[in-house]
Amino acid sequence: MDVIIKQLNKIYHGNVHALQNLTLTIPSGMFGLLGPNGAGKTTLMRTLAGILHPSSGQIQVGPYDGTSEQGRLAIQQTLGYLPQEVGLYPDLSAREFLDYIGLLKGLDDDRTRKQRVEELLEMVALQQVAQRKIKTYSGGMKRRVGIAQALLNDPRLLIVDEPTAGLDPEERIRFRNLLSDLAGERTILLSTHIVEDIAQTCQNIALMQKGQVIFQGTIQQLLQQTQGKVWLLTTNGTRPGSNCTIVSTLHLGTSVQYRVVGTPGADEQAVATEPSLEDSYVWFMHHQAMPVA
Amino acid sequence: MSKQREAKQSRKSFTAFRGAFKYEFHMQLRRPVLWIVLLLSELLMLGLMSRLVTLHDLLLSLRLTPPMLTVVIWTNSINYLLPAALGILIADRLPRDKRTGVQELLTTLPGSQTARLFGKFLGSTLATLLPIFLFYCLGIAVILFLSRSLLVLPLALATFATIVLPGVLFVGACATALPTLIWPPLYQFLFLGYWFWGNLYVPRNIPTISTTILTPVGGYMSSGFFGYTLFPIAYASVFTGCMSLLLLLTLSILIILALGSYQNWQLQKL
Amino acid sequence: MLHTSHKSLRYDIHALGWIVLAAPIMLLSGFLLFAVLLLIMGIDPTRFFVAGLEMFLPIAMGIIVSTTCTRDAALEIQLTFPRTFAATAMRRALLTLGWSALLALGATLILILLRPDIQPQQMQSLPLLLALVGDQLLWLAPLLWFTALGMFITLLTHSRTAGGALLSTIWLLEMLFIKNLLPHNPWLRPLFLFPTTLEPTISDWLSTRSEILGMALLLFILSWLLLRNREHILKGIHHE
Repeated sequence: MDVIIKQLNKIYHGNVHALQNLTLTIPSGMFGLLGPNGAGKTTLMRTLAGILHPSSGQIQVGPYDGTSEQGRLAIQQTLGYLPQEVGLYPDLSAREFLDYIGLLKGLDDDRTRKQRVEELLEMVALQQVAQRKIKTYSGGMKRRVGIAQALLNDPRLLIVDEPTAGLDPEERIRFRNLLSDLAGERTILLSTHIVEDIAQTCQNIALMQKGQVIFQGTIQQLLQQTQGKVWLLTTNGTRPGSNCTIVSTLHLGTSVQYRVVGTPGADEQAVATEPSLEDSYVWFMHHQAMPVA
Repeated sequence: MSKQREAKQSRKSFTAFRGAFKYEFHMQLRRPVLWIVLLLSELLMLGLMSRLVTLHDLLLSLRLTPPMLTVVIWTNSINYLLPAALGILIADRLPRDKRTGVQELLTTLPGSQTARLFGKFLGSTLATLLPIFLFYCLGIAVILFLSRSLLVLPLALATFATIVLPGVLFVGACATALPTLIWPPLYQFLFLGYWFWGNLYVPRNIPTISTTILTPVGGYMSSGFFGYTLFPIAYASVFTGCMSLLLLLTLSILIILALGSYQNWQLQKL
Repeated sequence: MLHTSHKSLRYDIHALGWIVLAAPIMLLSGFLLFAVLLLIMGIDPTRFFVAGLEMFLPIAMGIIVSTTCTRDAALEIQLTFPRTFAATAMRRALLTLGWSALLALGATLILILLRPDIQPQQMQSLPLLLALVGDQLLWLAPLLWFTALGMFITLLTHSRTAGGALLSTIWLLEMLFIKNLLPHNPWLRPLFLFPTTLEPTISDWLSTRSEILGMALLLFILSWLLLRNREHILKGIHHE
């Protein structure tokens, strides 16, 4: 199910432009949305989820018009949503919580709902602890309950906002793999500012800055656009000029090696190197902030 | 050496008190809800009170009544209702620290916990009192205009400081401390019930504490120091007025000290 | 839909907390115990108990319902469901009010069967069954009025504190001033919330109860509209 967004604007009270003429096409599969804090990622996701009303623009989710009330309702029937801060009822067990959310989502048939709950508990590896109250769970386990609730209605569009923030490395890898497994025929929109999560799971990505999309394409295309922009600079401690953004600093005894993106000065002895996704992200954020039409 | 350490510790405590006071005062003052609730309460109170007598009668009575008595009546009227709203507006300050996770952060700081609690209590109470004080000043301005007696000004400050302030500090201390022990909506209801029964209820059949020196509406100070009160006080002297005032202030301090000890005890349990 | 609602009730109670259901029991038990104490002291406790039903139960439940039913730990995900949060919030409010109503109904029936003379004058002339039904307005009208107003203020201001503080102010004003104001300000009659306790001989008891119920209905509709506005509700998540 493709999501097509055209000229989307969201203006908050006080003339704050959270989204500005945003145009984006999200194909089926995993789609990564990268951007700094305050770029408008959460606003975009909430708008797609039907919580926020766009100020203007078009949203088409599969056959449904996301700007009409009827369309929004139809989208919500097929939507799974995991917000940045997922709220759970601490005194319910994971099984009870999922059963309750299933009821609220409109899964009226008891047998089907309970079967779905068990499937999901197994999928997120919580079956062994499903009877325990949620307040006894770790952060990662709570996040897995969160993704399970989003999958209750077997959604064709899954929106996950910063799902791995605050998780330990092992839990992050587990969560990433889970999302990749889910991708299949679904459209999964993954928003994050952790570049590594996108690199490991998404083929298609978009970069957002100040409410606009400044890049959309595949990871390969993004890396290609940054070819020749990443350099290794070795100095005796003098920091590179203002044309460059330092990505990393390595102290080598008497000298310092900087990894930079940008255009080093002619007098600086820079050696070109292969860009990583993180380098490309920094390049676009600091040197190429032009919205995609 | 130990004297130096003590001096350093007390400096730290004072800094913690000053910091908590300053920011609690500002944070509370910046809440739109504080102004909305108190303004609406004041308007409702004024609206209903103005329906009791006609404007003409009111102005006439203000001209004929001695200014001192008018000021005392106005101070008593303020204490009827507004401290009840104040007690609810302060009640969410400490639970808010817990909800936002700030409390955990504060426990890691070196300054005295009790000093911080005192700062929080005084800062939020005085900030909540400010809209009430402004409303009070408005009434005093009208009395001043009608009586043309400058004596009204020092008298107004004296009545506010002795009738309103001790009770408000007591209410503020209770509102800061009790919601840590009681479910907040239940506290709101119990506090309202207490305000009516323990202060405004005229004793008929049901026993009440509204006639004791424990009442924070300031009937004893009002009657004892200024010779008149609207509250159900049978007899008051300067002595009982002083006793009531001191009792309320002492209880306020004790409540905050008890809250500090309770929080320390809870920390030790972790 | 009904089946789902029935299934959800157990979870709704968990989400609200058991104390919400325990509160009206505690309140009425407290009044009952105190009434017994008054009886032992040789004081007629009837009016005191009527006050418990007419004045104290409504304000307690008004504060509790407006505090608990307008918020939810899992609110943001619920805003993306086809079934709106408005339905969930109202179902929870109905659950809480229904439980309080059940207790109040029992207490009123016992009270009136024991002391028929405490009925409002208008009710005394009606056949017993009809009067017993009409008598329930004694607590029902203020209960719904305070709850609806509390929900509306809380939702409008995104502040549970504002809801509680304004309800308390109105309650105190009613207690202190309204009875004395009525003779010269008849337009205040539809706002006379506690006539059975404050002025038992009132002649238009039934019509003022109906007006209060009408206002409550209007406030519930306004609250429903606010609850259906997802963007407005989302704004409230990060408020107190």
